[in-house]
Amino acid sequence: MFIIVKNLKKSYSAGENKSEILKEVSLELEKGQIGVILGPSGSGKSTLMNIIGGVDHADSGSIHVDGLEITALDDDKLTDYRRDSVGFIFQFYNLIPNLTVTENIEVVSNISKAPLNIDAVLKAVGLEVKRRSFPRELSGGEQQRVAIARAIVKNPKLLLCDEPTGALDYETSRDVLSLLQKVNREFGTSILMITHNTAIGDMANVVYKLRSGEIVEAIRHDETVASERIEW
Amino acid sequence: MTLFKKVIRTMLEQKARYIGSMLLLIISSMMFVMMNMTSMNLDNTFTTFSGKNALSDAEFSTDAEIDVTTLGRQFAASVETGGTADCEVNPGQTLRVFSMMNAVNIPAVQEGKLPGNSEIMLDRLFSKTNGYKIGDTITVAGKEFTVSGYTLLPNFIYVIKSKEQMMNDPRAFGVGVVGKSDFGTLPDRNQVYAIRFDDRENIKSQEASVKNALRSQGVQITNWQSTERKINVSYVPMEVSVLSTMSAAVPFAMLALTCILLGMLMWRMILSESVIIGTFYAQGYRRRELRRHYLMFPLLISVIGSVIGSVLGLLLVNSMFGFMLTAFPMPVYETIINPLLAIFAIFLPVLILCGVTWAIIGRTLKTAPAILMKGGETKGKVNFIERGLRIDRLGFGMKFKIREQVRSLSRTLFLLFGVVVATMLMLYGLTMKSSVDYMLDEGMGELYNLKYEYVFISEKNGIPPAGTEKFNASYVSLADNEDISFYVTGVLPSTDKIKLKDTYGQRFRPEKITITVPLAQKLNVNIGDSVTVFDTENGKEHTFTIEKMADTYAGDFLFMPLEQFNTEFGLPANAYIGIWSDEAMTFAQGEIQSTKSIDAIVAGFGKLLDQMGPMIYGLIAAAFILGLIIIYVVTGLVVDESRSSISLMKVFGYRKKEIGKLILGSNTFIVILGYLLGIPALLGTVGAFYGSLTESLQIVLPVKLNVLYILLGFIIVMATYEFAKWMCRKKVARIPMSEALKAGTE
Repeated sequence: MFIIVKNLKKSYSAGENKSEILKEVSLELEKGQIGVILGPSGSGKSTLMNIIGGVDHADSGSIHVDGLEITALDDDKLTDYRRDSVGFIFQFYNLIPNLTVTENIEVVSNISKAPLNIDAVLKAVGLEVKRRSFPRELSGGEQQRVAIARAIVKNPKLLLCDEPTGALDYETSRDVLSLLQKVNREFGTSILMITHNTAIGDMANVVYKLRSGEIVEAIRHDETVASERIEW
Repeated sequence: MTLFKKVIRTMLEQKARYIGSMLLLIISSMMFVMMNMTSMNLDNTFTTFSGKNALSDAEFSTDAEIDVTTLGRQFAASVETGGTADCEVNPGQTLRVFSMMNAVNIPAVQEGKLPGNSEIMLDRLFSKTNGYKIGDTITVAGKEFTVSGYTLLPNFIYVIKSKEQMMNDPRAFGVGVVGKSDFGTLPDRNQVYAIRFDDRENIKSQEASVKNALRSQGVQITNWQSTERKINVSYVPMEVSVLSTMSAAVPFAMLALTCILLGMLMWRMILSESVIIGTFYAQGYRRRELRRHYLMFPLLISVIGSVIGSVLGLLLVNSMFGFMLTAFPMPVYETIINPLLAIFAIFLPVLILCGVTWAIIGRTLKTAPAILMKGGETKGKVNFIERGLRIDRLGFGMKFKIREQVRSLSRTLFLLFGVVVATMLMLYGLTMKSSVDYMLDEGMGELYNLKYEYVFISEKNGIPPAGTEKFNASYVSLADNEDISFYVTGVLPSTDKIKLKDTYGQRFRPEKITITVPLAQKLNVNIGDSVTVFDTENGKEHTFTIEKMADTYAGDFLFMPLEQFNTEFGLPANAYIGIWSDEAMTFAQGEIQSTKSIDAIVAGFGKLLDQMGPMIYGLIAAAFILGLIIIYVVTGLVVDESRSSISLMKVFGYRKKEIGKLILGSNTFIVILGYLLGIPALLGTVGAFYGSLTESLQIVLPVKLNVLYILLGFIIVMATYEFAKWMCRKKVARIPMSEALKAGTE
């Protein structure tokens, strides 16, 4: 098993109020699979992904990624984990506005042990001609493509996507999903995606439904649907 | 009122920036008020002292007694006979005793009373240093005098024994005044006539007329000392001019820095608050209400900064003026407090800073509320330099740093300008030290190939003493502007005592009429042009056509072959007024008018420099603080503006060191460039300052900056930079990763 999450708990305190965000969450994902965490706003899906991504800490429980128990790592080791193993894709792309497309990708390739060739990555995401453009000069879909290129250039074991189509229109969303599926197939990258769009679940090998910090349903698909066929 | 709370809270949230702006303003206003008022008071004190105590225009000696009353009537002038005698008080301790004067060069009584019989007035510093109080007895040249009071002499304000000394040592030298009858009993006294013209214009022409008249009566002038060139007096107006130049330049540089800084902060704040502005707009706030709100920032900063600075300046005027009066003792008949100066120091920053902010807000407020609420028009805008950069081949780190710099040109400009100013401040004293060190080490070989200059009382003919070289010289003034004066010097065409080089750096000998570059610039002449001057000795006019130009430190000079000089000035072909020698020489009493020892001048500079030690260290400390404020504020801005990038980098797995290198280290190039630009800017400024000293010292210091000092300055600047970066590191560490996870940057 590539990802094993066991009894994960997380709560936040604000003054006297304590809110439990994750209540004994457990899930699993095989290597090379696409996993989707579905849930409404406030269900805890972003918190879950942040902890799996090594940017937040759990109160209790454990997470193993490719055999490494990340819940036992200190901050420096977590930095190494993010640096070497995880690629991030955000809803609002988070590109650096004063860097060109190529330079935005270089932000990550610069610190990677064995980065992929940037030209090849740009070609894979269909942005060779925009390499010198600045983010402001790109459409939302193109910006998300740059974000995907940036995430995959380090050839990560795990790609974490936080609402990757949340800010995009229908057509562009399908393009982006198609690109993610292509990455998964061509590079064998495991993908964990959080979304509130139930339709996206069809392209995943496993779907976990999260509600109020608890997994309420886990659905496994023996066959996944090509992103081009997904509709919502 | 609620909006006002926002102003205060915003300032408290970003204390470093706003305190930095205020500090710059405080320093600027303080220096402006303090230096201007000091120079104003010094100037006024000198003018009043010169007028009330009838400072002479010249002092001269003759070979025969002259009738001062007739001379005074003939030239509408006050003429009085006086004199000086250098007397030994203790071994190695000289007291220059002046004869009491009643019409010209009247001594002022600082404390006590005028000297009666067997009484003497002393200068206060000499008295204090050597323990003489009023009523005490002092033995001067073997005769006992009672100290009647402390005196201040209008013709000996800067108390130094000779011009080579530069700084006085009150343990070894002082001045005193005795009555005319007591003066007559002193040994080795010189009789000197002091003259002050009633007409205060065209002094040099009037001096020339007196000289001509005396010569026509068969009187030989054995020494003529124009007050304008007497170092004991001319130092004061020179200091006033240096002080007023600095009192304008330094505060304005600081004010300019503050304006850029505050303008930049306002621009950024308004950009970052465009959503808030748009919301206010949408809720019905009027432009003028929003403008008023944002004007509160510069208003508060400028009023607080300039009021504190001006008050501090006013409080420090007395101390600084008192300090100047220790160097240049003069009676203070009145103290000027110019409230307009303080008002100007307060209102100028207020006007400029509010004006800059007004313009910035005006631009933003023209944008529609809907656009403002989306983050404004300029969000993520790429400027033309960013777009035009072709840096694909560079490494990522370098590309990132370059992009950080070009992202905000105002920020880069502010940092650059600030480092230039800090560099200039820091290296100012060190440059002066280098120049003197250079002269000490190189023995001024670059300028003069001689050790002593002896000027005779009257022209000599024939062959000079063995081992010496003759020259002739005349002090002339421009025919149409007598304020511009310089020496025309006749030298042997084959001389190697004066080293000249052309603008290409090639050495040449003064075989033609050669003007030095500083003088050519002052007269605005070039090769082929003519210069008409009059001889200050006799008023005769001479016209010279420039044939060659010498790029030399040698100051304001016109060199020409000795024979040609003698012909032009109507002297015998082999006449000379002075000799240059490598050995010290002795002459019969009354033969020599002046002696110049290059080594003594250099040693005098060395002594002056020792006294300047605290000033040099003070300037380095001030530069460190200034540099720290500027670099810290700019680095802080870079961090704040790169919050999302820093957060993102943390998410991507960048280590602290790597983030520090990329974000905090992006200013390294600008800091180094600022330092490198600061050096020529400083050398130019110091060169101009040395130029202003030339007339009084009759020697020009080469502008030099030792490589070791350049390195030392660089180390201090880089240490300041590293310190500022270290202070900002915490700021970087505090940026959470959640910032990137929650927000979108585009």
